Amino acid sequence: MLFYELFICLLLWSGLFFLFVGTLGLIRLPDLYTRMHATSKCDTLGAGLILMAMMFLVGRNEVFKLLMIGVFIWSINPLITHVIGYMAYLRDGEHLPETFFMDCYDLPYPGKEMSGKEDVHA
Amino acid sequence: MYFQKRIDDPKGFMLFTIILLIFWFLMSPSLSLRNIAVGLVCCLAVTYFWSPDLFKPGQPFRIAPRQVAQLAVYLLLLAYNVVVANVHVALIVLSPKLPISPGFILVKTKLQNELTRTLYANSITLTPGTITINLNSDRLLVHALTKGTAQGVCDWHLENRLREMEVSKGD
Amino acid sequence: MIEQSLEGILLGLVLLSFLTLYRIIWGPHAADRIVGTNVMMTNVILAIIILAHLFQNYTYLDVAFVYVLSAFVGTICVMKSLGKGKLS
Repeated sequence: MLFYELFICLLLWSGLFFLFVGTLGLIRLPDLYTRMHATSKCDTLGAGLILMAMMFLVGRNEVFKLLMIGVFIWSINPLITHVIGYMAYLRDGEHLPETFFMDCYDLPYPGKEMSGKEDVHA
Repeated sequence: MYFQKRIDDPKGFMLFTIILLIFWFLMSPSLSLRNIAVGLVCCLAVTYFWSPDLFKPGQPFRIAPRQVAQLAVYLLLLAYNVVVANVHVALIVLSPKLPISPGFILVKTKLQNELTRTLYANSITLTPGTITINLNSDRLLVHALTKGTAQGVCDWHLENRLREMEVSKGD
Repeated sequence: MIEQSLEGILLGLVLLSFLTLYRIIWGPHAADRIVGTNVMMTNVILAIIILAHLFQNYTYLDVAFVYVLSAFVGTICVMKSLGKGKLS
């Protein structure tokens, strides 16, 4: 019984830790795209861990609702990231000055170096 | 008339309605007769309204049982990769010097189906150091956090698994 | 032990939401504010679920479920009107 409680507490606090890492990345990282790296990944895993711990705690009738909330968060979060990134790429596109642009469409990895954002049309 | 839509794919129509009905019964509180009637009407109406977007003429909407098993294995591997990605991002964010060298990279996919392409783009977003910015036919614009992860996205082993799942439709 | 840690998690979620306000208020562009709002949305959903367990009133789970969907549609609408200038 003690191991069960310890396991649930571990899930809860590790979820909070990953949410904290996501928020810290949102504050510390320098431009929009790198901020989205932190928020998309860490928020998704943190929410999944806390939802998994709550699934052990609530009764049997509510597990399906929590599962559905988890599935929706896991499928919606990358989608929102994708939409925000594409709109920012179209509009103002603030990126760090040392960002590299690379075109690997018909070549293997090192590809062609591109000079700027206007050359990489997706 | 704008509300008259052609149904090209009756089997796919049935399958999609059944998936929506399962979702309805998971959410609904009780199994009374009125509940079932309302759910059936709503699911049929939603599928009928969206049928031009769901069922394209060349690509019938089918799910084989073997594809479901392959999808389950794929999702387990994806969950492991998500944990690896989170530890990677946590190590970068918590280190005091912020070792990043970001950049955009344009990649070609081997996948043919639209559904698997969407799944691939979403799973690139959840795996180490890369997020998808745009997906246009078979060109993927990916933003990478460091140069090493940019190299990793070009030949990624999970793409081959999705390709197998796409090919094994026939049986 | 679980009760205390649930209350601690609730306090932590509220504090993280206040940290996110930095990016929402002083973000250089509109997209940064949207990202911050999105993170706050996840925190609020988890807080609603934990409160539903602490109050033993599981009707709140439906509120959380509808909140996920409406926040998603709201973000899509804002980004569409920023990108195209109109909603259609």
